[in-house]
Amino acid sequence: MRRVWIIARKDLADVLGSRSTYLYVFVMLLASSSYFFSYFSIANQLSHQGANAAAILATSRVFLSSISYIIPVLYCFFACQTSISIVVLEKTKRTLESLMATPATMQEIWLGKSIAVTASGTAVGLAVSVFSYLVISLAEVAPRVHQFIAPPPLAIVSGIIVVPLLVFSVISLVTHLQLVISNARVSNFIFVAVFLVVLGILLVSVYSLPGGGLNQRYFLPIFLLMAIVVGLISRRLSSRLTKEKVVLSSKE
Amino acid sequence: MQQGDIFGFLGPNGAGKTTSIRVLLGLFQPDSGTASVLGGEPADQAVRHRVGFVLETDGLYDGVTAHDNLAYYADIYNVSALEERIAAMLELAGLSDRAGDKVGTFSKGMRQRLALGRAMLHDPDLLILDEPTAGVDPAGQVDIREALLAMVRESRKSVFLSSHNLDEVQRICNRVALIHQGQIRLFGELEQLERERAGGEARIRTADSLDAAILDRIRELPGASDVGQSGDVLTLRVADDDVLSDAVALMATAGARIREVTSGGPGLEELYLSIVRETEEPSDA
Repeated sequence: MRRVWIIARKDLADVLGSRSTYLYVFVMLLASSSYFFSYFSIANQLSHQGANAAAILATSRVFLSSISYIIPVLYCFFACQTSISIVVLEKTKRTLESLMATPATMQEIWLGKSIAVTASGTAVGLAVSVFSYLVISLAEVAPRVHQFIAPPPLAIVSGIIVVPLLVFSVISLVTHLQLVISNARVSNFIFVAVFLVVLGILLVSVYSLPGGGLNQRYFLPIFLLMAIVVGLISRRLSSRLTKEKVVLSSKE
Repeated sequence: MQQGDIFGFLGPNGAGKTTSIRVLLGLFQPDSGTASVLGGEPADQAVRHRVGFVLETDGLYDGVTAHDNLAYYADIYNVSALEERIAAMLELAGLSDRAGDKVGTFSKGMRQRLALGRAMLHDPDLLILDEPTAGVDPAGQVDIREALLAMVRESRKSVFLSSHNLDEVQRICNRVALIHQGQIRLFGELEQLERERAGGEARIRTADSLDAAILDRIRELPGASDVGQSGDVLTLRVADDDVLSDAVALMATAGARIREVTSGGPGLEELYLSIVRETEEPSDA
């Protein structure tokens, strides 16, 4: 395990030292404005319809609760996009082959890189999520409902534990595929494809259940289930990962 | 290979040198047969700890400093007294003053020297080097060669050197193997191989052409054969060095003015080319 952390630490430093990471933070902050305007539009509509303060408060709670589940998933995956390229970059620059010739095993390298991508992505994603939630709550919601609406405890558990688990399982699967696929362009698209598939399954599952997106008790078990399923697939694939496959897929 | 050897591994492009190195480094499994490194399986963790390497591409991180490139590998190998060891390797590579510079700013020669330093970080018993001077200018090649020899002399490491540079191999290797079309065509001590390949050929250059009588007397010497003359150069094949001494003595006694005596065979380049051509001929026919 010692070498896993060494590899993860080095890659993590590379990601956090990269300018593109901060560009992604900026893009995520811009994207957060859509939630801000969504709430603005919903609240104004309710006011025009003559809704009372209690109705606006209830709607605000549901709105903030929903985004407290969805924002971390979106942002954590989005933030991982900047760092997932480190695997492809290491292959094309042939630094990975040298690393594989050391006593580090293929599983240690795979795990180290998956942890680095997940850690950087979730750290950045969660930080931006919390910031966005606070800005929407304090700048737009609180002045209307005259109180701060905290995210539900399960959403906090989801953001701190379940979302990183889900992100790690997906990232470890994508890292594996990137390690064994020779076409760098294809490997870069894999992340987007896997991300969209996972997100699609999540949203379809949540919204097709009774109560849909308003019934937030479905979010957590579905996130957890997805994390376990993808994690098991990834674990199974990792047992077949060999240095030879990676070297052969690195050929130009 | 034996301990302390600098072993030259030669072969044309596509002969299988890099694949062989990947097998020795535990990156590939052999399709057939077995590979043994330092008495163990190449992929074995204990063996990997005793081997240092420089691959065809140096494997250094461009965006990271020379010091941090070494520190990363030192951590992977769990090197003790890390900072002292890194400083020693930077010194050996002649890069102490560039320790804090990013490797992306280094010349090819500097990168290769740093890669050599990285290969030596964990004090390995065996160094496996794949074309360490490829793409490096002549001055850089000399620097790398000197750095390599300094490292080997200092610690009596064994070196497995794959190279296209025959001059380099001839200068620093004591033992060679030539791989061609997937098979080892030549293996042994370089000097011995050159002698064997020469088949006892010798040349004696004189100031003037020799008389036919002298040539006849040389032909009569036991152990001398294929005696012939072309201009002022006498060529002959001798059974051993004593026969050559006898021939020279006979010529001197007869009044011939000897300018130069050469014996031994072709250089490594001729040896290499002759073997490669020999093995290619049947398939060309």
